[in-house]
Amino acid sequence: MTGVIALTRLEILRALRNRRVMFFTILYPTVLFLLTAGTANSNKMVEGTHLSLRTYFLIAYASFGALGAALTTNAQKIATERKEGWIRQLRLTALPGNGYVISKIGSATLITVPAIAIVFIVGGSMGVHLSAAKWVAAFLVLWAGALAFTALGIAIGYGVPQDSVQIVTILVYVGGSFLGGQFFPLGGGVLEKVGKALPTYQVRQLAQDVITGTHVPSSGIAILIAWTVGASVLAARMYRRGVDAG
Amino acid sequence: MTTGVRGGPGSAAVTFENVSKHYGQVKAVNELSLEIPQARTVAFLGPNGAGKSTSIDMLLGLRKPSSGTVRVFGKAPHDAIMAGHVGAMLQSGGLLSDVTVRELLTLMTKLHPRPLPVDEVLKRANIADIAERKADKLSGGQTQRVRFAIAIAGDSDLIVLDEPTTGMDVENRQIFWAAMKAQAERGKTILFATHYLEEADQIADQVIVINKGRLLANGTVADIKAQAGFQRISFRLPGVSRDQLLMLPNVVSLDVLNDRVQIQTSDSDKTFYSIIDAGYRPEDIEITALGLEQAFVAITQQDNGADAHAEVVEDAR
Repeated sequence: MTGVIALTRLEILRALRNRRVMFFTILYPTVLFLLTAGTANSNKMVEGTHLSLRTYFLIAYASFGALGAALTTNAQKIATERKEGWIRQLRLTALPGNGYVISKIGSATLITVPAIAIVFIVGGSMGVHLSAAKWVAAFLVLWAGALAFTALGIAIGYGVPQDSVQIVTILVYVGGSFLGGQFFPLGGGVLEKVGKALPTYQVRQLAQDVITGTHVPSSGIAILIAWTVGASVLAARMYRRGVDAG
Repeated sequence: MTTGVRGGPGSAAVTFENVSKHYGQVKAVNELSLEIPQARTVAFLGPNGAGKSTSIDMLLGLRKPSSGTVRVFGKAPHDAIMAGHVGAMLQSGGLLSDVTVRELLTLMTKLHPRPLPVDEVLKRANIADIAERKADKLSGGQTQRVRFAIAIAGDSDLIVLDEPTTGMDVENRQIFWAAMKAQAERGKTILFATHYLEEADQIADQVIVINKGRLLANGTVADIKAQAGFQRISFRLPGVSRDQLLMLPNVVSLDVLNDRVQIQTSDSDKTFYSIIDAGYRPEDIEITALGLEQAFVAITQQDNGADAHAEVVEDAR
């Protein structure tokens, strides 16, 4: 166990030092939030909800940050480390077989904390008022929901050929955010129908429902859990395939 | 320092028993059996594609044999690694990005059941001067030394090194072998694969040669040289035929080209006096000792030649 903890600690340290990870985790979501939520009409209500545009974007970009953190810390790194023989080297140590994946899940889960927190802090300073309980609840929903993205990142890192990892990651990152309503409210059309099937949409929607006190549909939670479990199974399968191929 | 008789007294560090590995139709390793006693420094030699890397992968539990058993201190390879018996340096592989050498080695010591202090590891691998550098921003030779440090981060009993000095300049290579000799003096068993035969000649006390996935020779450097023919006698003797010279003692191989005779012999004195006793008076005599490199080339060529011959015979049927 000390080995897994030591590896997780080093993984977190690496992520904090990596400019690319910090960009996608902290800077990019915050800047996009400032650009959209800082505009004049941000006090308007989002159609069909009890949320101001500003609060909508607070949740949207916090979940966008969590997605970026969970995806980018894992997918690209696992692919690189697989190619460079680091995973083989780790298999020559007393680290338990799944220790590598556990450390990746652990570090990604911890890196999503500042990704969500920074947007919350900026949002709070820009006049989004929520009760303490709601801040905490929204945070916990987004944090737990990011597990789906972490598993997805691991599956991509292991399963996608090295050359294609970057493009697949970007597609999932941008495409998932676009259809998940991270960039703008989807407005009930075809986009929203498609988006509802995605974890990006459901995480955001769930956090939003928690804030507005709306009834939380069980179908939404079911979709989110299905993605998390599905991606985890996929990641486990890809991991085992990677191990057998040596 | 204990030498770790961990598989029980007398247990070999490494045992291969009829080990084969097939990739489809290709037999990378073919019925390989060998034993490495504890506390030896063993060179593992073979031409490219001989099955060295596949054998090492099986020894380290990275690949499973198609048939046969590999044992490390009497245990399955993976169990031996989990118990901390084995430290290994793989042939290629980058080091982790965004960490210093010291941080990387701190991690590696924590992943070992019997860790050494990090400063001791740095000292033993001669990399104390680059401890605070970023691990992925080192020269080729420095990278190799850090990778060696990873292999000795714990108090392992067997150290496996696959092509450890590839990419090192002469100075780095000397520093490296000094560090490795120190490990051997601590009673460690060391197995290294190499392309540089002079290294094996100078450092190994056992040499294993494989070719086309089979064991070709296993013994001391002197044994291997004897198997190939210790010395080469070369002279000019007009009019002599191959058959006339074949009955000479200690001859390993014999070539007659025009008037030039070339003999590889396990005892040049005996062979040469017999030539004189038989009444021959050769000219332009040269007697040279074979290095391990020439011995290696000789025995692998003999092996390839034997196979070529067998194929011709099969074709003729």
